Amino acid sequence: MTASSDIPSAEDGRRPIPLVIEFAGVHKHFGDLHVLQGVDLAVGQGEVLVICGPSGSGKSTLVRCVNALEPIDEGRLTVLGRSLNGRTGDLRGLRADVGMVFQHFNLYPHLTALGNVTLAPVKVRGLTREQARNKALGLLERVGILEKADQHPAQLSGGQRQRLAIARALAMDPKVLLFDEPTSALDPEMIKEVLDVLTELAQDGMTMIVITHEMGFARSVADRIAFMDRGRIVEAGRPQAFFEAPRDRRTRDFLGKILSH
Amino acid sequence: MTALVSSGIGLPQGTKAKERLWRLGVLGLLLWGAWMARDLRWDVVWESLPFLLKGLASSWVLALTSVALGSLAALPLAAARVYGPPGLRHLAGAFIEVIRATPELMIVFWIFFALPGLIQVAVSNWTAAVAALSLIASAYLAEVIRGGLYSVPREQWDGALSTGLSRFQAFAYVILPQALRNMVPALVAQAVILFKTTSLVYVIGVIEFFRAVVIVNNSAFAPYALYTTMAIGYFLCSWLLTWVVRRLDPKYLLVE
Repeated sequence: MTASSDIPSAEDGRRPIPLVIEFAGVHKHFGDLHVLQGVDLAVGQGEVLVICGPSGSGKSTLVRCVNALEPIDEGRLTVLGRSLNGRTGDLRGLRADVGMVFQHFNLYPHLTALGNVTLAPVKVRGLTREQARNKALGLLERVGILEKADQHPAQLSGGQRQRLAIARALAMDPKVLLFDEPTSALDPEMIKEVLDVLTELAQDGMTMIVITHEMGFARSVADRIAFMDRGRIVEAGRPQAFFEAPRDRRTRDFLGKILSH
Repeated sequence: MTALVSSGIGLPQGTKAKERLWRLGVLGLLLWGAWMARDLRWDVVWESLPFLLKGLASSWVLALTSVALGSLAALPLAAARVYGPPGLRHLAGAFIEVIRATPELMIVFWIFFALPGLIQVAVSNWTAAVAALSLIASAYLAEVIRGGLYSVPREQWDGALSTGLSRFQAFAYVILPQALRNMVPALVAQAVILFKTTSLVYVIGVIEFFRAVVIVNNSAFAPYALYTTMAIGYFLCSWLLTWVVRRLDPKYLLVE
């Protein structure tokens, strides 16, 4: 229906990139609330897709469908070659390959930073404690909080907590990373340290869907930006076109509101 | 009115002196009571002490066994009631509510007198006592655990499941440890109540602390000394239990 279903980079004539995530006419209801109203969307390997839109537009639900935290009601959803129409058996295998970072971190308060990162690799991937520990220390160093390894989440700053959550997701060697407003709960001075980590991940070729209203980040890092409103993807395109020549009136209104100051 | 105001937090120095005075007063009252009771056959307690202590030990055995067995059943009961599919959820809920809504004494009687007729197997009074107390413990502990599970934010499930943990793993490694931390105060209260509940099985002839005291009193008749000893015995045990369970509180082990 819109450009949103286009295969990324097909538009400028290069060879098509293999698709990792594909929504086709996906609907989702919460009781009477029609949250997703026919979403068409494709994300290619190594692509960074930023989703923005007013609150209640269905952004979070869309992203939570990708790792089956929410089942879809209608339509087709394929993630990493697995069909997620209705409930499939191998949700754990899928979730192990699709990492997620939440607005409010959702870290385990009773475990240390190291414990947070090593839990899933040991229990799901079957790593030994020693292997998981070494891997976790490497990841904590990568996100810049190695010295916090033995501290609990409550002892970390907001920015450090979110970087720890990213390390926890990376510990599973995910093929896709989902970010649900990763900087919305942070104080302004901590936003940059988290966005820097995201930028590095994007440069390393990670496939990412990022819900954010950090438009500077979107402009410089995203391959594509999608604007959602009332359960639909209204418009999607390359950052330059999206910011300079938005086609839909709602996109223009929204950009006018969030870019005005 | 003035008394209320002067006992408030606003007067730290006056309050301190006043508290010391109150403590002295209570201590004096206890000493006076002991002095008045000096001739009331404490020798009976002294002579029957081995028997009484044996009864107290039986009370502890009953309490610890029933709490252990009760906990084993309480965890699946609570999990079924909170996360189970509709049928299982209602079954667990019905069991818990029936136990909680009937008198403990009736459960003891029912297990000892009614159940053997139903299953055509003789049940010894010790078996009946342990079974009844375990049933009671499982229902009440299940409610404590349920409260603990509800205290863990839903987002913890999202975090755990999103890393690929199964629902069972998420429950065992992420949800339950946090729930246990939050349920310590309720657990203390429940442990003390369950310890005192063991006294009920004296009605089916199990010689625990309560019955031991009654037996001695029936032959030597020294109610003041014996029942005061009973009060002190139960109080000290409950107090010890409170202290021990509070030590288990992982908050002491964690740096916030």
